[in-house]
Amino acid sequence: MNEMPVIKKEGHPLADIDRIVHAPARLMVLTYLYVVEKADYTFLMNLTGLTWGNLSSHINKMEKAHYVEIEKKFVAKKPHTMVKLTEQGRAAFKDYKQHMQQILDKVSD
Amino acid sequence: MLNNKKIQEAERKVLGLNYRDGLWDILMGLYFVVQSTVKPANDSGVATIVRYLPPMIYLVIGLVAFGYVKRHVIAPRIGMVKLNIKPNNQMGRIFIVVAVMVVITWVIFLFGANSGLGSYLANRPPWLMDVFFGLGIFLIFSMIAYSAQSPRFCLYGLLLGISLPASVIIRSEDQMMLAYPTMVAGAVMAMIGIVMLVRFIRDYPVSAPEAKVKHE
Repeated sequence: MNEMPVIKKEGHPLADIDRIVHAPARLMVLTYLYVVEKADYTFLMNLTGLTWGNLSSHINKMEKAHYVEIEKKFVAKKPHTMVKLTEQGRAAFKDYKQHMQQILDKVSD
Repeated sequence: MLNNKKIQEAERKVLGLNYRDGLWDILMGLYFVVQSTVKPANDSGVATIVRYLPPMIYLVIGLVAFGYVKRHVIAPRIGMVKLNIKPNNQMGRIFIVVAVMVVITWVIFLFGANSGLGSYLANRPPWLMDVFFGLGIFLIFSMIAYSAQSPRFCLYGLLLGISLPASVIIRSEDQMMLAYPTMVAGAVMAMIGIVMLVRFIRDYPVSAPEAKVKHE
């Protein structure tokens, strides 16, 4: 009887990948936040092409993981939100980059 | 695949978007136009502070206007970003070129007068130093163009670089310090900036108010 091979998650290099960073939209946002000090929603939306709602949902997830911090203030009586990468987020991004590099280096051509 | 190249691309995209509005072009261009009207000390007969008053007044008014437009016209369209103040490789190279130019200039003026270099410089062609500074300006602007991914800065570097020796060669009877070639270079910069600003305003309409978005 033919059975599909089961890949055990434990021990597989991709098993312990950071899924908060791994999602394409969040990875894109984190990459931009990594190269600036802080940016607001409009700027991130223009860079990533994400909608307000989508961007907001991803930023909330990253905030819950303490990867980004949100600064809310009023500018000319209008609410203004800046998003900043935390030290923890910066470290997670670097780890992810290193981790993926190691995995892909092991894959033969 | 995330790698250093992708991160550099992201950095350039951020800078490209940040400088797409043409405001810096207008500010710098008009500065060179105003600066080119300043007359040299030996021709004007007026105090240095008075001669440099127009560029100084322009800088104050220009920077205030720049901040106002950035906040009320640009920010609602593309948002606001605070760039990383951590110096990167490109900034380091620009700093090195500027530092080398400053050091060479001081060496020539401080020690050159009492040496063979001093007598050589006294008999030098009038445009020699301007060619040197022109090349430096071109180099600095080329590096800015590369790091900001804005090729137009190469054109500015070329125009300003050429304008220095050209100003000496075709010095007018008015004896303006930087004269007409610099004025033309500044005017071209300002014109390009205005065109970019108009296109920017057309391409980026004002976004929906942030108040409508729930962050919680």
